Amino acid sequence: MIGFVESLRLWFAPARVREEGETPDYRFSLANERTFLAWIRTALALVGGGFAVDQFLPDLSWGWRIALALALLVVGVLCALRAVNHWMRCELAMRRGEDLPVSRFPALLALAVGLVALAMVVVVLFGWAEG
Amino acid sequence: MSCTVAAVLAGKQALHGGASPLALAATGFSLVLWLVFVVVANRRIHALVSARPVSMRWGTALGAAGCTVGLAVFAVAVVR
Repeated sequence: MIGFVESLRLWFAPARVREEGETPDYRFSLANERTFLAWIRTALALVGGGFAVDQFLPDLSWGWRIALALALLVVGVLCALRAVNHWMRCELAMRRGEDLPVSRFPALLALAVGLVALAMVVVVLFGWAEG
Repeated sequence: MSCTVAAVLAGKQALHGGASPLALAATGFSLVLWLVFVVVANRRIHALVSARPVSMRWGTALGAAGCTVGLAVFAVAVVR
C-alpha cells in the first residue's frame, strides 16, 4: 500500500510507476482504466450539475444558488483529481502484486452529494426563493 | 458526451449576458477545453485498436482530468 507522500511524488515522476514490479495482464490495466473513466464521467456530471444549478434555478436566492453550485463544482474537481490518483495507485499496486488501495472517498462523495440533494429538497419545500 | 454537455452548459453560461468580447473569449476557452478532451479521447481510442493495448499513459489521464478541472474552474469564474 502506498502512502500520501509517495503518491504525491508519483504525480511529479509518473515514469517511476513503470519501473516498479511487472507489467500486469492488460485486461487488469484496461479494467483500471474503465474505473478511471467512470470517475471522470462522475466528475463531469458534477461540474455539469454545478452549471445547471446556476443556470436553471434563477428563482433560487443568490446565496443558496452560489453555495449549491460551488459545492458541486468543488466536489467535481476533487473527483477528477482523485480519479487520476486512484488510477495511478491501482496501477502501482497491480505491478507490485499488492492489494488494491482502499479509500474513504466514495463514502465521502456519497455523503456530499446526499447533502446537496437534501439542501435542494429543503430549499424547494420551504420556498427559499427570491420574489 | 458528458464533456460535451458540460462544455455546452459552459458556453451557454458565458454567453448569457450577451456576446461581449469577454463572453466570446470565455466561450472559446470552453471550446478549447472540449476539443482537447476529444483529441485525448480519440488518441486513446486509436491506441486501443491493437490486440494487446498498452496501459494508459500518464499524460492521457492528466489531460482528461485537466479538462474536467478546467471546466470547473471556468464555472467558478463565471458563476453569478
